[in-house]
Amino acid sequence: MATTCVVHSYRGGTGKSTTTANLSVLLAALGKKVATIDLDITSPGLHVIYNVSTQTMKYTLNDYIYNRCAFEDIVLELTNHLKLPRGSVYFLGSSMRPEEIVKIIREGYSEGFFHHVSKNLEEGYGVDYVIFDTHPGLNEDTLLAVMASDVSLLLMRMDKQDITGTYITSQILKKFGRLSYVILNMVPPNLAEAPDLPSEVSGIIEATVIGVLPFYEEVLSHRSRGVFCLHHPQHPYSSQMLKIAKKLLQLTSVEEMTIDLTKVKK
Amino acid sequence: MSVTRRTYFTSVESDKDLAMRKRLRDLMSNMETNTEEIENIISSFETRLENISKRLDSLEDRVSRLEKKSSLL
Repeated sequence: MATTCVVHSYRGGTGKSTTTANLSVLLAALGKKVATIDLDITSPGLHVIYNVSTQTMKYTLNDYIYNRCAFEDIVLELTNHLKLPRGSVYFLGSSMRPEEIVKIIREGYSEGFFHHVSKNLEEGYGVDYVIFDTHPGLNEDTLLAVMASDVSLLLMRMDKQDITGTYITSQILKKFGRLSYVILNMVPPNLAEAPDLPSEVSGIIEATVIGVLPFYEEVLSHRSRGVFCLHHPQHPYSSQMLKIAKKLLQLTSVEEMTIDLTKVKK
Repeated sequence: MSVTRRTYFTSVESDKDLAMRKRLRDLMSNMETNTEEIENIISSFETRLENISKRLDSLEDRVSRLEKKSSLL
């Protein structure tokens, strides 16, 4: 069964889309089939990082929701486009056209939509991971995506606004019993080296920190012109992101192993 | 061109969807958030972060001084 992950943050600009794109190619490098879905409906941009033109992205999630195309029309396989040696990456984009954005904001998605998309991707394409890149904040559609997913990856900067907002988000997720993990992004270099930083953050957010990504000038200068890890595979950011990908694999595999052990005991 | 929204699921699933939305709205409406308590928690955390940062700066200074001393030897 495909594992669904949602990448979320309380505030914008935390690096959700960058994280989604980089995580997807690294999971593929680890042999997985990954689908990424741009659910940031008011400001979609994942296709920019993947270097997918609007001409290539003939149909979007918006078209599918309004019955203008078949499901296969919105699934783009990017494996060859990204020159990935292993695994696969599929992408489902959202429209950047203001008239489409306004319509979907007004009418929203439904919780059934997420299951439907994940199920189609699993059955039709055999994907192992479905990653939803979401709109920031505590809006209903984003929270529905969080509730519909197996794992939430909460992205935050070491900024008081982010910390406060992520704390509030974690309180909501706790009430719903959702499994969430934290990724600290753009951490000031001196703080990134503090060995007790992950445990301090885990203590307050009450979710395990699975990665600490320092602020790197090079990532900022890259300016979303492609997936950073593919352009700079030896960079420390890419190494850190690979650790996060491996951690995510391990965490989601352990759950499966626990289920298998239960079967063996019986 | 059709402008009808696609239906993904049966009426049973539609009811489930509406129930989930209601649950989410009810939960958030009834959270009784104590903003003062949150501010205290975050302030306390910020103080701990500040201490961690100062400790690291102090360590860096010491390492820097040690390096200077050893270069003179």
